[in-house]
Amino acid sequence: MGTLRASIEAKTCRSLLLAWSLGWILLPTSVAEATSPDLFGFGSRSMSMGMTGVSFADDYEALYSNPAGLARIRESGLFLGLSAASFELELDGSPHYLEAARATTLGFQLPIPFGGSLRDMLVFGGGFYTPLGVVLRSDVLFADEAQWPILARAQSVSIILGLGVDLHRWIPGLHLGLGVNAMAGVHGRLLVEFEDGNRFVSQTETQLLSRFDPILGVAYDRGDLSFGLTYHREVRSEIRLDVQTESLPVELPTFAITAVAQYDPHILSAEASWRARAGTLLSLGLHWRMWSLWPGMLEQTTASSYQPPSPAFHDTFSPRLGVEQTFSRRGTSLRLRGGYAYEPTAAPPARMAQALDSRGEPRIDPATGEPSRTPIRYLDSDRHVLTLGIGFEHRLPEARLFLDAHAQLHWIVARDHELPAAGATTNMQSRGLIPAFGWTGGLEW
Amino acid sequence: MSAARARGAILASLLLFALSLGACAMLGDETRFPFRVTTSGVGPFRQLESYETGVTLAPKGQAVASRSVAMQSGMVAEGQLFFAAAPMLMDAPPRDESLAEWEIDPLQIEPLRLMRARAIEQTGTLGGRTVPLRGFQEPTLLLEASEAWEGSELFDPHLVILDDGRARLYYAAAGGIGVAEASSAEGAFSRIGSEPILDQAQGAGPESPRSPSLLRMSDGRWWMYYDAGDGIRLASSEDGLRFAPIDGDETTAELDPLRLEAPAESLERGLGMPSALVAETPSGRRLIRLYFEVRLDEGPLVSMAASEDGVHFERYEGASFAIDAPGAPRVQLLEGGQTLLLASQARAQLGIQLRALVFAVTPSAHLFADEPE
Amino acid sequence: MVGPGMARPRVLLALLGGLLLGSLAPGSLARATPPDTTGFGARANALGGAVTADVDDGAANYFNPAGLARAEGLTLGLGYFSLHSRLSIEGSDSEVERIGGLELGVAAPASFGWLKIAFGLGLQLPDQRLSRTRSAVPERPRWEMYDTRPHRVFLAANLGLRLFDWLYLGGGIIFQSPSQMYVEIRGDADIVSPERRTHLEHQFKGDLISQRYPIFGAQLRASDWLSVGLTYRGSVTLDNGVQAIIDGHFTGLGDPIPVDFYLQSLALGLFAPQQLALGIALRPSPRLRLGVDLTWIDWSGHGSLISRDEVRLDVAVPPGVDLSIPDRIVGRSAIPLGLSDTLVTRLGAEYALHDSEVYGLDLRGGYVYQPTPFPAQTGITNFVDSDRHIFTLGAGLALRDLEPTVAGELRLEGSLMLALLPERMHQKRSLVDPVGDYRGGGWQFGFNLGVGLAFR
Repeated sequence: MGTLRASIEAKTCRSLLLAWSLGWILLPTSVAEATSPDLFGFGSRSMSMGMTGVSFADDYEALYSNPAGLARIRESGLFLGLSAASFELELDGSPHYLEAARATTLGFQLPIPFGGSLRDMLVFGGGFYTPLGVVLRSDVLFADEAQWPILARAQSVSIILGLGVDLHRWIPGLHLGLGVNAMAGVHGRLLVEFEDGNRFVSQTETQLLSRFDPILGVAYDRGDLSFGLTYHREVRSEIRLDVQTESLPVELPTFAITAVAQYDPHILSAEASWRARAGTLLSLGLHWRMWSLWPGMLEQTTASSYQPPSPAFHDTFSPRLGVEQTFSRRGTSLRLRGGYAYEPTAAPPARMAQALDSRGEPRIDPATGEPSRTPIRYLDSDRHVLTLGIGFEHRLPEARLFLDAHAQLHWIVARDHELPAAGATTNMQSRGLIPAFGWTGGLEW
Repeated sequence: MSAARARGAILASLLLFALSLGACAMLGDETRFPFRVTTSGVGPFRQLESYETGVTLAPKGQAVASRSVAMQSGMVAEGQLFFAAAPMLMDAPPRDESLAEWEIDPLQIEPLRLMRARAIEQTGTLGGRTVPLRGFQEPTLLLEASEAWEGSELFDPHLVILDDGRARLYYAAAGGIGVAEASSAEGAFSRIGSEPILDQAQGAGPESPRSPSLLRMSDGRWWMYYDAGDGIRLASSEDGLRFAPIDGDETTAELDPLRLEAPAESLERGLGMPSALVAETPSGRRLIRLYFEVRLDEGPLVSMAASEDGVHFERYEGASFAIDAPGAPRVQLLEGGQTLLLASQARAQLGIQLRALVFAVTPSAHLFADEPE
Repeated sequence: MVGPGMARPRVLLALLGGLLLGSLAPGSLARATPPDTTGFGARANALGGAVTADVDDGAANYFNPAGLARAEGLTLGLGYFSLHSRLSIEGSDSEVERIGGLELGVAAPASFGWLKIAFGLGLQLPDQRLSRTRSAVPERPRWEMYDTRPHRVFLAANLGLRLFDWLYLGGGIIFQSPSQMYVEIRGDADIVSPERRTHLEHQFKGDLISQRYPIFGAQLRASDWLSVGLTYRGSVTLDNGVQAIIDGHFTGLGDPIPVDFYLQSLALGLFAPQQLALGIALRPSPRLRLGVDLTWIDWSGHGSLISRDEVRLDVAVPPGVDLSIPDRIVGRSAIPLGLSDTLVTRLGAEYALHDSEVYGLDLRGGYVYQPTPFPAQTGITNFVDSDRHIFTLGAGLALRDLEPTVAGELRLEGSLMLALLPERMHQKRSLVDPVGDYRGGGWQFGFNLGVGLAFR
């Protein structure tokens, strides 16, 4: 493998660039936290165009943005990408550490070569989103610990399979798509027994269970205009670890360590795009995220334990803007891309929240008769996202070669919260920046 | 084939297999962890439930319902329970505080005597399966001390059946180990001779031997394991009546007890009260398994050792049965390969420690009766 | 000096090589060991898996990725597999769970002049779960190869390359996920009424960490009647760790009693040994195909399956409180397994009963001898296993007259499998082993049904 890499480096400048990127792959495994498609988008083109693509995606990126876009594909293709993001977060003027992220993306698209009345009708695609280090990170902390629940969402190997259907024979320009986002959850048992001889014996079993959440999409092309509508069902990765004890000196109830480690809300997306003139594409979209349905990460430990406080998140509407300018000459195209997205926060400020009893009713302090309150330190702010990118396409006799690069800068607006950090006296203030970048290479034939 | 039929064939086939998409790694059924397998007899022993013994007016596992009777030791043979017991004194003196809380104070009970009880009849309400063992009831007197060498009480009964059906009851008393015989296990027992068959004078050990446990070996000889005060010793006999001690450690010149060294870091003060059986493992090995009482400051427990020649033993480092200060184990191999244990266990009544005989079994998954609904 | 006419194919080769390496990207490709037990693909299973030399459909994603480039056109396969086990220890059913699920195989070749590359996707998705790991307790005998090991998803994406008409190469990266879990519980547990007055809360940190290892394959088509294949799969060792902390109080007996409990357990979640498979396929006549495979599996590098436990319990019981707490708590230590390398022999035969432009009908049969790497369990461990004799039978129907809808054929395939595991005695060295001597053996029955499309 090392010899081949050296051989590539000797060939061309492009190979040097490729080899540098490939160096990431060969680095030792390390624990890392990767980007989420909901945070940063999926695919270099979408990620450099303000995370738009619902109305115009016409390659493997459509798997996430709008599966109906798969139906526009007429050539098979294979794509590979790398992306990375760094979390520069501040809490009360001091850095608040969140691990940087690296991930790979593998995408493929396969038009099914039926003939006759099924010709050019069905396209199958798949995308694999895989962190380089951690496949599934699930940090579900006590609610009173300062944390960034939206930015630090658990990552997971994301497998998206989709099918696009081109209905051009009946309604020219109309495409339908169905995708499935496969997510994993953990279900485990820990049985602790006390055997004779003062010996604890533990047996553990963990199962990784899959969950399939659909992505439904419709797209319509008419002349220079394209429209897209997509629905993502909520994605949940649940963890449940039952801790059971037998024959202990004291009888303990079953502990259920449960958490919703990964959550993407229901998302409804609408977008329109316009090919203003030859080579210019403008897109404008709106995303409705139903965060109000999020139950929170934590759940009761035992049936008689207090329920955690409600996070009280609210729905958000996120407008997005994307632009692409294409320059072509003799089989080679250069694309410049840019975009902007506004991501309002779904979280109220960190505060003293109503404490709940085991049934979810407000808990009353027996000493004062007043409702009990408990700190909840979820940190999040509005984000302004600026994106840039560049794409290169070269037509070969029997194939097309692609190379795209993207960069994003997320500006997390400063926010004043309603309570201090543990042990501090002044209310918390949070802010930050998230630079992200990456590239994708591909081949279509 | 027409295009329409081709499309139909394709779609039908795909639809057929769309049904197989149903599960897709989502079910997550929890199946049982691998269960414990044990053929070695080391335990741990599970104390039987009341619905298994048929003795319902007593704590679980108890062999005989007894409220005012002290139970010292016992064994099951030929469907009957042979045990040593004595009623508590109605106006018993205060307890000797130098005794451990689990020990019987002999001044608070009458002299021990040998008793016999018959098995409880199978009834339909407690389960429908014929089992070789149920609880026992209607105890009757078998033997009480009468010879000079016996002192005031008899204990540690052990029954064997001879080839012709006669029953021999070995027992311990103050002066050593004696034997009585009957025409059958249900018959009346008469002493054989007026002297012990094994005592200190015969080199049985530093103290008067007790707790006899006999095995008939393949060559017809009788081997008797017994408690000699300094450990467990072995003696052999041609006829079961005249015994000669066997050296447990040929590396020394003296007649030694069996080498059953305590595990490292163990705080045991000694061991005794042996009970032996011969078992055949699934691989065809014939082993002698020896169960015994281990004496610790915090209370006794039952452990075991195994041997291929009956003299050199490999000791199990754990506890086979450790609930409520068990002692005086008596074991029996059942037809299905299970090992049944009858042990005495701490049981106090009106402030007087009486102890009780309880049943336990290994493998613990074996049930003697169905659990009532 | 490289002229423009020569630069383009070399650049293309370089970039394709980069894509091939890129396809080795960690986490983008996945493979596990379940097909070692269940096989992959109805046709390959019917042939006993003796297909390393000439596999050319979706099953190449497991048996030999070089075969992807051998496919004529896009090949899609969808199927269902199932394996039932009737294994017992000392006459008692060990209740080994059935393994079954969905199979998907894709081979997508493309030609660029003289160069042919192919992309492949293989998926075996169990009904019940993506994966399962279980800790091993020495005193609980279990069928190590079938209790947990096959309950894992198999996902592979590979690249194949036809360099010459007679030489095919392929490769990919195998991906697996060990886990680290940390659980912390705080609060009060009421001893008298634990169900009603226990108030606890928890936090959880868990990581599934990706690891990767290589796979390479080659096929050499020496002639129309002889093919040779070679596949190498690297090894992977996954350690799963669990750390649990309880920091709280026991209540209900007067003043709260502080409790401090700590458990750390590090277990070997999976060991997939490196393997080298050599296969030969012969076609003595146009209707008859014979195959033989030999696979060396490096089991001797297997680490201990017993977790290393550290347990600590501190309870400050006040005087006068009747609460018995053990004063000595012992964890477990790793125990070496003593596995030995094995050589798996596979034989397969296929006969074309009918072969026309309208349809084709093939009959298939095979035999596999899979020796066990586990020695007789004479020590404290109890990982039960036996040699495996597998007999397979199958058939395939190809419908060809489907144009214009399908320029190719529709395949319907099925296979049956019967595996015999002869009873094996495990005699313990220790006479007082907690488990004792025992015998283990049994049989397994499996089937695989598939439907596929092969476009020209």
